[in-house]
Amino acid sequence: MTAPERERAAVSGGISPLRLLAVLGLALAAAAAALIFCVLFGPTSVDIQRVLTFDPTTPDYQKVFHHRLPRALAAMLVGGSLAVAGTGFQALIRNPLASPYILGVSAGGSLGAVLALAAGASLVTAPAFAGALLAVLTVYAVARTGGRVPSTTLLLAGVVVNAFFTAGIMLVNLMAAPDDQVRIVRWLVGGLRDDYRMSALLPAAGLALAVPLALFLLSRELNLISLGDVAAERAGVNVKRTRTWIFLLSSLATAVAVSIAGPIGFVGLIVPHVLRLLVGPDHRLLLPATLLGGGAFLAVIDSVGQSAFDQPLPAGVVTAFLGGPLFLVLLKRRDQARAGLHG
Amino acid sequence: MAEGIRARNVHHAYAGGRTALAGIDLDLSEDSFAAIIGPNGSGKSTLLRVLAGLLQPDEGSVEAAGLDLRRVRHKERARRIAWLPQSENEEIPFTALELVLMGRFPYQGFLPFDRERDLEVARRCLREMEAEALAGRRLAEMSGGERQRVHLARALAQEPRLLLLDEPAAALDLHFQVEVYRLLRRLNREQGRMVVMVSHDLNLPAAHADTVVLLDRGRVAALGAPDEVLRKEILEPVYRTRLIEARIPGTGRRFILPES
Repeated sequence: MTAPERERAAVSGGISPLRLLAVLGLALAAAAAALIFCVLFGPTSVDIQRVLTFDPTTPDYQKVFHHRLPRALAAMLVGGSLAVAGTGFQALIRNPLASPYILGVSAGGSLGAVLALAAGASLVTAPAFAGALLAVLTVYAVARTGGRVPSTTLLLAGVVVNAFFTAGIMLVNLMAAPDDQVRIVRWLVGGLRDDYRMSALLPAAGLALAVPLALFLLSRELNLISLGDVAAERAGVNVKRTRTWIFLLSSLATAVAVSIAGPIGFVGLIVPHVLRLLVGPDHRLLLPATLLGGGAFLAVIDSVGQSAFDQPLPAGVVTAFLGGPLFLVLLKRRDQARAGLHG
Repeated sequence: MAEGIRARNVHHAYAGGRTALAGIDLDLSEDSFAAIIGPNGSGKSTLLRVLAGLLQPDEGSVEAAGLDLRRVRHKERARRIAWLPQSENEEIPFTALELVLMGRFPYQGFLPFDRERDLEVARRCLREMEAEALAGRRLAEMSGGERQRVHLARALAQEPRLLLLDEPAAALDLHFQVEVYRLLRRLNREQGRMVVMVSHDLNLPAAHADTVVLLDRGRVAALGAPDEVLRKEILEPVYRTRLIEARIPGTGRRFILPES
């Protein structure tokens, strides 16, 4: 939406179910387009006609339905969860630099995964999730003072927990066997795999949808809290309770993402920023948009990383290369806009 | 339960030990238009936050707008009491209408949508503040005065019985200062809303309020009609400044000026 359009929409007023449906429809279309792109384009080509015969014995069918589709769906779960978590943390901490990883959740998840890998395990989703939850609860226990989770304390607790778990990761990595070390480093870069089974993704998918839905029901509170705790309190928000919920839900979304694909950076930082420019700052529209937009973004990034270069690149590398500069551009634009306003 | 304000023995000290309120007793009727005055550090803003239910005092009890502020649900409180602070967050990314609609939060249900009635109220409140033209503009792009009018509209959108305002006219030019006070008076007289404002200015309350509360070091030093409280002999020891009392020709209204 352009600025005048946004202005007109604002004057006509408010967020109605219809307006939400319009945004949701657009975002769903974008996500569907991304999914089709990911399934059709890969390192090797597929014959669409042969896929559409739905004959499970053809290599094209297997490529699409056993590898690319689960991988794309996993990418969507991860990207959507990270973007939603970023949106939640940015409102909670009221800092556009807040990412889902700022509070140590990814370090906790990584330690869980790395421990499992060093022990020779091949499936790391469950230990990663457990590690992430452990980090969340530690941060929460440390930051909670008088029933509140103030932003500064939360950030400080996050930094400390992050450092602690990172040290643990280093230690385990140093002590691991050389073969395991390679797998550990690969996991720490963050990326998707080819061997996700649809049934194994179901619990993650459930969480990846339940968390945004719960946050969506708190979206007016998120709007108010993004303006300040006092602004929210005076409007009738139970700030203590709501902040705790936002923290726990955003952390849970992060834990889901990290346990599936490792710590993929920048998605949770960039996607909310870009979508805020498109749909505005109201979380009632922003949350559905980030869920689907973040999912579409990571799926496409992963697909491009797989096929566009001589060697497949993990999504974590691509997002870091793309996200870093993009973030600087956004930051610069914001500062210029501010300077223009106040200068 | 007091429909107006009843405060008993309210004490509050900030972390670090600075005493802000040192035993406030205050009764104001539900139809009051009151101004709280007093020198810096006398506890005006703290008292206002306590009356708003946003700050729990260390000691004492407060009833306001028919609620016991020690135990009240958040939304219930916000439906009866609206509070406007001295300064607001300046970097609000929302438009005026979006922000005013947020004032409807305490009336909204489980699903996060704005209903027709919310929109009607929000638009009416913007209109009352002569801020209709600002509806689609973002607050971050407004002047201080425009922002203040939008924030007032947001407070009105809560449809409160009690409006608590901390220096409501501080950022406004003369035209809007007069307009804001006129509007507040109308809300008070015609809609029966109780208004309590903190004011640095001594003469504005005289012109508009029907009750003046003078605070001194966290206590109520005087309370009464403007003519009773705004007197040289009462104000001089509190403000520790020599004052001149004069009367406006024609209306005969009293006003106060520092001697030098």
